[in-house]
Amino acid sequence: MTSAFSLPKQPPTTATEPRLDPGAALQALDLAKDYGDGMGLTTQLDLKIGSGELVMLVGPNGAGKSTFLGLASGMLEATSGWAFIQGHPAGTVEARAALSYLPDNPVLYDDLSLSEHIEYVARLHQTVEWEDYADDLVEMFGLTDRVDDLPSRFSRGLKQKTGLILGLIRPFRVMLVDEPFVGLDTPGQETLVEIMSDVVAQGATIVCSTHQLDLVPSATRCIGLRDGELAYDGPATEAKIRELVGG
Amino acid sequence: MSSGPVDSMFVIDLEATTAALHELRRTRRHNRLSDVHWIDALYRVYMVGLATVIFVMFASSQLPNNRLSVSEAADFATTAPIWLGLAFAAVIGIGLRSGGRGGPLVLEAPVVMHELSAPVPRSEVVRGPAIKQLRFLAFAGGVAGAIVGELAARRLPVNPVASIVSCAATFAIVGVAASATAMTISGRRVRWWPANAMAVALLAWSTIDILTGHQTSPLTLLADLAFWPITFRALALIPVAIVGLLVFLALQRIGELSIEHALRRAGLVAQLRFAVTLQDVRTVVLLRRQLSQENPRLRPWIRIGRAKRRSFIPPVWKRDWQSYLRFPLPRIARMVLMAALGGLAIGAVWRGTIPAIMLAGFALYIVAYDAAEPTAQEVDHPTRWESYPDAPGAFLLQHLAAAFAIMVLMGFVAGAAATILVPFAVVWKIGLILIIPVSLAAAVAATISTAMGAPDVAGLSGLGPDVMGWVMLARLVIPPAIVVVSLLPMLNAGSDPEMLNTTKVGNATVYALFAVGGAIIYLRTRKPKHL
Repeated sequence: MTSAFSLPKQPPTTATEPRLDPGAALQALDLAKDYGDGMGLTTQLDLKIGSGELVMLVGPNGAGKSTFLGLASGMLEATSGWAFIQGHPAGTVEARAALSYLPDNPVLYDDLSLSEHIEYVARLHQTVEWEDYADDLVEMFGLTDRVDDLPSRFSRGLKQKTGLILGLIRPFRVMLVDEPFVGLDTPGQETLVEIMSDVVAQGATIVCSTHQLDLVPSATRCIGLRDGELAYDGPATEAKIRELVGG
Repeated sequence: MSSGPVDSMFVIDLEATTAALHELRRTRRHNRLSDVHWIDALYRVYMVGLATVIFVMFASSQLPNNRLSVSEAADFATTAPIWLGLAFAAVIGIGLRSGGRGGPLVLEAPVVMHELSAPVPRSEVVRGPAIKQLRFLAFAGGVAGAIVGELAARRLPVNPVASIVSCAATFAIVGVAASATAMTISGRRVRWWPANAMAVALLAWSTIDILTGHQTSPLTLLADLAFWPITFRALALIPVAIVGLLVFLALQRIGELSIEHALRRAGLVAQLRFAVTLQDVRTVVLLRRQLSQENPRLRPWIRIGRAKRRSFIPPVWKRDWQSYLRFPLPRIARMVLMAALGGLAIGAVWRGTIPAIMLAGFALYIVAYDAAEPTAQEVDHPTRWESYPDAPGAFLLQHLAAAFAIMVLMGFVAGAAATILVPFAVVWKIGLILIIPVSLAAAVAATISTAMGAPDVAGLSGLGPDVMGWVMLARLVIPPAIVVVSLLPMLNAGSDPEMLNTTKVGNATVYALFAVGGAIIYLRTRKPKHL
């Protein structure tokens, strides 16, 4: 019989789990999520992603990509195993401080303007001297004229740009991004590729669920998922990505 | 580009992030308030207040004017808390069920995504909304209790003010208790099945009180508080203290609620509010089911095998039963309970509380809404409906057969419940006449409501705001009214079990069937939305 409580178990430490590497930017240990209908991340996943990596997460629909990102961000609760961000269990204050997660659908307040959103998120995460950087980001994504507008009324593409700005404005060591190129116009896509390369050059880690081939030259690694299990872990090449997505 | 996002140092200053959270929440509150149209808001308050006063006056006028004597009132104050305790147990049971599924709090999606994901203590993020909900339920319970107290004072030899105050306090405490219970359960991550088991245990305890006539359940004791103007029982303070403890426990661990549940509920409730605004009943039903995780069973209760080459079973009939056989247990339980409630209301009508006919009609309509689920699937997926080679509504009428059969079964449940208040012979005689027309009316009414879909607000707005308001109201009221009309013939039966006028009931049923026939004709003309 299952337990009457669904409280998370005590997370392992380096003392109890020799595989745990506190230096890894993101680590999955026996990580699995079963929704009960055969979907999700059904096979336990073990992987380690180091600092400064730009990882493309690819796979066909229903492969478990969003589930993996949700588990690593602490938004989803694992059926088994653990995800660690910078050696801290996903969802803890320390992990939240080090992680920026952008879901596939931008989540925005109805009653805050773009500039108020930026201030809110920046200050919630204690970003130091964020104003100039915010101006740069807004300009790069072409939203300078819209800073006082309510992003909840933006088009899909503009909402996506707002979500990206909010993900980038706060300090992070690890960024998890789910389908960030969807809805972006070509300049927006180019800007995003440029920013991602810049962020990785600064030492942060990005795990990006995408099939965008423009990102391949910048990507250091490709992780392929299929039917809820790891199908590939190696260099990112256009041929490999096509194979994984088409498969 | 200026300084990048990657910070070399992460110093987590929880005090600073919490202060930022509170300050920025103030900004949001200011933005919201500056966006409020005060004249509109005051007009709405005025309309709600007016409707409440009219309801109270109407309900008061339906009560007999003769007051109970002091001794009768004392007897009433001994038995009534036991029944009221059962009702309170049901309310707390709903709270337990909600808590087991991550409720009752509904946070906005951005709050979950930005605030609960920030390095801010989660309890700080959640405590505000939690207190707000407790406050609201205390207020709503208090208003409901004050109305009950006012109505009770008309029959009982008590000071009206004392009655209103004691009932308002009791109902407010129950509202707080239900919410606090749910928060305690979700904050401690109690799974759905032990939470449901606790709800069943509470209901069973109150039922035992009813059967034995003793007051042992804490909710029965709490109900005593409402009767203090008649009989003072100090034991009622014990459950009040328990509720205080529950509130403390709820707020203590509310920050540990499941983020996964919170995110799921946030998305669904936003859609639910939108659907309610549009009066899109079908979408409201679908979203509510998702909210309570009421999904079709992966394995049907009984699997209907593949048809042989020459099967005489109509495909629509078979498809409908395949749908029913995947109904989850909570939905079946709800249908049975609502049917039983309908039966009890019918019993109350026969015993002289005529307005209960509206409750009976509404309860059976709710049952029928679930019975019309296969039809709703056609409405949700209009391609099949559109491609059917017959009059568009003929396809819907085929689905009516199975819904009608289900309603006949539920009619037996309602009849069985009615025997609690009405002699079996009366139920048998009247039920035999009414079960077919009422079941048919309920099935037709729910199918009509389902087939209407969401109102075409853009089209209706051309009629002007007043006419549009009436049309929207009619869309909501007419379907359950069809069920109420089908129940009206029972008023001709008379109140003497020995002298039942079944002929008059039968004759009046013909008129009710006219209404049902008209509804069926309307249904036959329905077309899929995009035709």
